[in-house]
Amino acid sequence: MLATFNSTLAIETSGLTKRYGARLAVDNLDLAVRQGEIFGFLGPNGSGKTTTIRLLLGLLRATSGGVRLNGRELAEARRTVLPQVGSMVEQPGFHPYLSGRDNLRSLCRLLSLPDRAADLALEKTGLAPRGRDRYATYSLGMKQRLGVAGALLGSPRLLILDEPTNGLDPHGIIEMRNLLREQAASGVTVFLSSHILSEVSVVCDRVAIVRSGRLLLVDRVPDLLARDAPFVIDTPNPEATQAALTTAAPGRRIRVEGDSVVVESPGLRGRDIVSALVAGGVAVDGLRRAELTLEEIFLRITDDDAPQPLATPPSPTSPSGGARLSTERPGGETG
Amino acid sequence: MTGGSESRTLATGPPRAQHSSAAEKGGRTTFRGLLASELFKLRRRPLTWGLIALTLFFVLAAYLTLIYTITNHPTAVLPGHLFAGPAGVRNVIVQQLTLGRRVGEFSVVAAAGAAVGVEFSSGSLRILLSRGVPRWQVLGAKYLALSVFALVLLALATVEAVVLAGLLPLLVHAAPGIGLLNVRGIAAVARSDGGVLENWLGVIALGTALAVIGRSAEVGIGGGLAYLVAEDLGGHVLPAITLETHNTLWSQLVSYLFTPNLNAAFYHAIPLDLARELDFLDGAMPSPMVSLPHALVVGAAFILGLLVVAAVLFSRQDWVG
Repeated sequence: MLATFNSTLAIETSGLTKRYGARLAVDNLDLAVRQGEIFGFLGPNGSGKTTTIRLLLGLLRATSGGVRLNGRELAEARRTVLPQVGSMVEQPGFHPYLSGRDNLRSLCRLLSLPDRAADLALEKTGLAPRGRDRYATYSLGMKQRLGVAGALLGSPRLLILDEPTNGLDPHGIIEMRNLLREQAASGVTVFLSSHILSEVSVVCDRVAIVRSGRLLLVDRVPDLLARDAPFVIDTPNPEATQAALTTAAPGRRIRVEGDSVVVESPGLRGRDIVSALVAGGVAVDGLRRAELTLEEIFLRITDDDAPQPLATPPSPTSPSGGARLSTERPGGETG
Repeated sequence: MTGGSESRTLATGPPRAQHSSAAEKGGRTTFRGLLASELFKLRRRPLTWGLIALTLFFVLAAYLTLIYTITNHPTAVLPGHLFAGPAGVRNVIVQQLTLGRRVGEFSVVAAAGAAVGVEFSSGSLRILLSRGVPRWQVLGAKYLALSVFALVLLALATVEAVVLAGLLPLLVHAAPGIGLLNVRGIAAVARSDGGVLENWLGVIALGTALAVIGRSAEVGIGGGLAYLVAEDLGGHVLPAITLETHNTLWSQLVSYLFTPNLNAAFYHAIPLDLARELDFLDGAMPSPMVSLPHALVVGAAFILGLLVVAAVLFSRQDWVG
């Protein structure tokens, strides 16, 4: 299994599995994160995100499967690999009786860094004015900033951050976004778990979505936003259009919204719709894709009741055309 | 999912920019660095200074009690008595350390429970482990840092006891001066310090193990203090049960308890004439009396066992806090 690892990746997992008794927290996860990219890791609560991050950092032992960071197997080279990884898992863990600065200074000693590195990290994360206050007095947002500051110590090649914008105000979120972009621009790989999907869509190059410990898909953010967005048909006769499409594609979700008809699109191509409408003799003013947010896509994908998974590999065959709509689904980059 | 096929098609990302300043570079974790980090945290922890102050206060309290005793029993400083001549100076110093040892045990077990337990409760252990620090090194560095703390505490207590002994003639005119302290006296004080240190290293192991077992500072501190008190009491209660039941098993059991053997080791480390004067609060001998080798072997077995339990639990458990 480990023989399939790719040495050019910042993070690579192969068949990674973590089982707690009968419960599978992470199920046969194959993940590949390129060096220098900002990679979003999404999933509903309890989907296995944090467990995966703990496995990546060696905080948990995998039931099976392997992890490779920056081209080296974690199990064999954790002492070499992990010092080059900055991380923040869930809530930052610091000593409450120490100031933020002293917490970082203790890490500087661990990493053989001068105290100046702590001050630089505080400045980078906008925490310098409160650096000498006790950690116990920090707000949630300040704790998050300190967590990221700690992760930045030692100029790691890989940042693994679990909900780094949790508790930050809008200004802080923008600062964090800029900081992550700056890190990525300097060649640092950023692996980011977040619930703020709008933020992920803005800052990440690619995202992975997990549910129940299983990887559902990996895709570039623009492609993900474009894929499977419903078709919107502008027509002077929505009812007739709906009827024609229902005849052509029984079982597919088709609804009328004002002067438009909305057709759920998984596996559907625009030309198939046009063919069906022409065959049905329906007048059409326009055909376009609706614009979905990452949040809408996330909900569609992670919804247990969703009728059609999105990550099914594409079929090599095409529909023959005519009035019958294809039910094939577009393929995507999968993890 | 087809992660394997994707990994074969992914392009290498942009080359890493070399812009980091010297202050930001580093990233190597060493045991020395870990120890420096642990010592830094101990030094910056208010509890550490509070425990040092508490222990030194009780050394002073022992000194004040000594003055009270000598004032009320002036014969104590006459030739042939406990606090007369060169041996008297030595005994004045060690008498203070005797109470310092008892309070120091509580201070050290609290420091150990806090130092280890807070890593669980605050979640800071994640940071150490996620930077690739081996678990055994985390525990080893903590034990070593706490041992340094114990050494510093002992040095401060000894210096305080010596200084106060030097001041004694100013308060009690018949008391021996510090100038009478000879080489034999210094050696006796050093032996006493050795006994104190052996005791404190033992209770560090106790506090560490309890904090790891309970995964919290509260269990480490509270459990450690409770254990010390309970076992000390047990050392006196069990022989009483022997008398009631005419079964010697209970008295034999005392010989293998942890705290009574720590007390016994200290008893054998201090001057004999002073040891005979020890009472329950000072750290009385366990009953039946045990030899120094027995006390050291049983104490070492307890320390080793506690450290092994802590190390095994600490290295095997998945971090889930």
